[in-house]
Amino acid sequence: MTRVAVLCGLGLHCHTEALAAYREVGAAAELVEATALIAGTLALTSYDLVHFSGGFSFGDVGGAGQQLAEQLRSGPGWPVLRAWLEQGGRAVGVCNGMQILTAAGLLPNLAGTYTPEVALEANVGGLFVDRWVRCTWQPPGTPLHYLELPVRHAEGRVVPFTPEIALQIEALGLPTLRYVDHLDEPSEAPPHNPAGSPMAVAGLLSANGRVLGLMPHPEAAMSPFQHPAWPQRQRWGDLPEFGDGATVLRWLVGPFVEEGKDV
Amino acid sequence: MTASRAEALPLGSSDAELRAVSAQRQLNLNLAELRAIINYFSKIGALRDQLGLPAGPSVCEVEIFAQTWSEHCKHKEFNAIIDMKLGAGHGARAWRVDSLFKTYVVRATEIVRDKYQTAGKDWVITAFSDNAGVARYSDRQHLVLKVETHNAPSAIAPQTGATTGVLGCQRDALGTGKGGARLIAGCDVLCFAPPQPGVALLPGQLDPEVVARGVVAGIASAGNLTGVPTVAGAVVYDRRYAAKPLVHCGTVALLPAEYPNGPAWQKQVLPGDRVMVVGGPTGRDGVHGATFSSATLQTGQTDSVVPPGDPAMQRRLIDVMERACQRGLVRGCTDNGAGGLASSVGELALLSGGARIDIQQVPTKDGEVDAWQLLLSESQERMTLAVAPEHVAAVLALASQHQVTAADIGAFDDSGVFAVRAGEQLLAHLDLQFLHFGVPRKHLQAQWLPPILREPDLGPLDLSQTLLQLLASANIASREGVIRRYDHEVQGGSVLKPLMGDAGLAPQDAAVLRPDLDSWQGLAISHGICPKYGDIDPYEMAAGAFDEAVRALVSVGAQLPSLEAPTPWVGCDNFCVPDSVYHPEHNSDGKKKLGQLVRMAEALFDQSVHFDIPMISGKDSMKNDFRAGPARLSVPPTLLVTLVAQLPDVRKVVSSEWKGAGDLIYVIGATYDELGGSELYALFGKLGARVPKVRYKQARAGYTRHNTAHSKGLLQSSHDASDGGLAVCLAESCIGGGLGAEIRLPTAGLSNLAWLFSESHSRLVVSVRPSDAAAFEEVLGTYAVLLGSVTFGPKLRILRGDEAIVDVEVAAMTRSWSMGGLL
Repeated sequence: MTRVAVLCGLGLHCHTEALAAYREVGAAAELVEATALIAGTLALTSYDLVHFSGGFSFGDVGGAGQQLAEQLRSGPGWPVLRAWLEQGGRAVGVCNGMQILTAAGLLPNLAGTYTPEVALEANVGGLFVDRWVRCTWQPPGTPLHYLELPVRHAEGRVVPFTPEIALQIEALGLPTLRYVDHLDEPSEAPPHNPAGSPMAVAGLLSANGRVLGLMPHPEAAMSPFQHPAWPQRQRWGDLPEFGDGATVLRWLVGPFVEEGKDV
Repeated sequence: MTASRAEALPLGSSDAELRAVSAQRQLNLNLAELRAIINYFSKIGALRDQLGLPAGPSVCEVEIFAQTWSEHCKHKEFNAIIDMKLGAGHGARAWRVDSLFKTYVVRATEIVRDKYQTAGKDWVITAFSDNAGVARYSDRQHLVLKVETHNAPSAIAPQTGATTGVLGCQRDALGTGKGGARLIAGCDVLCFAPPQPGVALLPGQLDPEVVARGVVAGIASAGNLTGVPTVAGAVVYDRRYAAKPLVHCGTVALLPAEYPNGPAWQKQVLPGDRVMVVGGPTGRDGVHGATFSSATLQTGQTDSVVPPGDPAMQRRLIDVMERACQRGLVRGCTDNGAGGLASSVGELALLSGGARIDIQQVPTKDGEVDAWQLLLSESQERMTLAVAPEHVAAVLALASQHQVTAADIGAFDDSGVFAVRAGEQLLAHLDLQFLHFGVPRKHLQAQWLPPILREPDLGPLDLSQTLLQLLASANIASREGVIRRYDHEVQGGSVLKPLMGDAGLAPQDAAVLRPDLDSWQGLAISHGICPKYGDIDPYEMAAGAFDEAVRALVSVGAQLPSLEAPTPWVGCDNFCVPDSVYHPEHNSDGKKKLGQLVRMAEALFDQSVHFDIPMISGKDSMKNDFRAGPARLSVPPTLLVTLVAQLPDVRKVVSSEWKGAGDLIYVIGATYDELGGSELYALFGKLGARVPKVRYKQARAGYTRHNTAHSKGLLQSSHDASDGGLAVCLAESCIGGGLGAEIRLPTAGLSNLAWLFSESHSRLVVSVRPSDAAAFEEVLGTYAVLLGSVTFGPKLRILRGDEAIVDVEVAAMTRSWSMGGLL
């Protein structure tokens, strides 16, 4: 059974639904204080996956995820986390979690030096947006899926620091989740891509394949009754058994961590 | 530090002197109140001398009285003795009201509770006695409900005022019972003036658009950053809200039934318990907030009385409270809002019988702060806790782990006294009973004379165009620009979101939540507010607001409570009115304003008792005016009713949009010629005379039959008719579902205008599969009228006989409705 540590505290507040989502797909998940990860007191070896929950850590003052990333990098837990990741550990960050992972240099970590390489900048509209989006989901070795998930963020535009970084991200196929429009074509503009993220990037895998960041919230799309069109679907007998987020969660607790166990 | 005598504040003795002190120190205490204070001190001279305190009150003590006795904290007008006169001449009635709050609000709840208690089915746990009301939810959890207002702060510092309003109401829920309730939803109803190009602002008044945008940003920030989904709300426009915007901030929470140290709903403060302050540090910010918000706004008031809000600190405070309370470390708590520590410690001290604190132990944020300022500071994000001595260390450790400050500042005792020191120096020593129950009661005059009004003649209208204009009007247009800025889905429990459907265009009548992801049990939240009818009849306005909230919950599928099936429904009332104290020069229509309030309270009582829906918390806000020299603006008297109903299975709820072409459309509830106060008339700047009336028996009968049809699974959609009447209701179901409708109105009876736009209450438009029509008609009998059917053709066509009186494309309606929003 995949063992998942779901981080909470310090302004991460999507932990309740994340915990329920992991349990729904059969993982042994538990809540863990983010402060314990920072302090290095979290027994990481007891887990296969650490989930950086969404939220607004430290109110996003000074940039989304920046303060928590700074505490993480400067705390005793930083070398512990890196060593654990290098020994096969896996990390996923959703929304603020992705913002923290990129700000901490864990994602995409192309150079392998744990230095930040992409920024999550303000949405093109400049405002927080809560909206359901359609995305393509294709992590390595997985068939293409179309998923409908909610986004809820103000700083979700994935901007590589240099054109070279952008090219490398594309060349390595790291954008595992992309926004698409109503014709299922990649979209770089609202409303289909609420952040206005270039290359339609909604989620990124790290170069070493151990860290995943997603701006949309799969943990809030586990039940068909979370989808905004469930009443119509129910009327027409189209109500699926699970929400599209389950596809992501199953991959996280399955292929993603399985690969880590071989290292 | 050597103990010197605390600084005295001489109040004087003549009326002029007393008034001068009250004005100079912004005490907002009237002469009777100041004289009661003087009288109190005159009797305890020996004790004062023995304590080393001045004979009269110290600076600190006067400030404590001013905050504790403020309208904001003691609701002196809502609790006043009122002589009421209704009407004139032969039919006139006069009576005395001994407290509006007790007579109409508390009494209604008692009647409903008695009825169900007798049957062993009362679901209320505490009403009006704690920071928020508590009701039964499940064996493991209780429901907590509170709606606050933050009008004055939002008028002068819109974003900060709204943020601190939301955070403050969250802390009310967090500070209910022993504390630490899980905050599951926010709901914010906002009343603004529409932008008025060309209308000059009064000196010191903010542009209504600046106010509206700031308030929405403030609410978004508070809800989003704390991870509490903002699931419901409303935006109401009336130009008179230029006096003050009304910012209602609601919080719904779930409190565990039991903590390791006893029932979670029950505060239990014992002598010897430590007084702890947890949260952000205390500064000079927000001193005098309670007295300020109890007064009319005036030119020249700055935003310095509005303390800044820090939602990130609040989130960490929530984390600390949840963890501390679940471990049984906290015996009772309350938030620091108006009046700061003076109020919070003073209130908790009533439970043990006394308290003494050392103000120097309070963590401060900016160096030199006077002791009385520390005591009264309204620095946000702070809770006051009663903690058994053996748990103090654990609370301090928990707070430190979460990067929150905490301090042990004193002890609760049973001395009967609230005592404040700064190190060695005694600053205040006040009798708790006098402090909390010694405020003299007010005696006020009220009168309501129904106005003499006439129906306007609008002349011939193009009804299709009129419908499009209404869809684009301020009070009806889409709220998408506001809704999408709020995180309404965090925690994963949203089932009916404010906008539903694949296109996200379908507005819903109520929010439906599933707070526990391992259960399908849930709740529905709705609001009712219709100040526009109040100019014609404040009773019918308030009754209408209540009915609107009931209607919305019935619409989504909540079953009305009855002795046979006691579905728990609870409510919260918010009265916001202008200064209603008569004064021959300064407030010559004060009797009329208070008369309106009395009529509103009567309606609340009648509706609450009729529908068996107890109010469990509420708030009154009495001075919603703006004064600049001789000019004075006043808000229209406003009642917001917020209702929460429990749902056994959220998967059974019904949404508002059409589902399938061919479905039959019915209207439940009768339509009357009641265009008074309607959005149609407002479009032409008219008021009218015949205001919608709530007909209790008919309303309940219609709702009960809707409930039955719903529980038999016969309803494909349900939408309540309110602003804009039947035509707007039909249009919204078309817009939401992307489908059209063909409607044939009965040829006899009402005029076209009344059929389409009358806002008669208690009506719901539903759609039903043709195969279910017979079963539906059997349930509804004469309470439903067949109107027509849903069509694939994307048009709304409304026919009267052979004539199509409305014929518009759904795309055109969607465009008008979407583009019309002012935010």
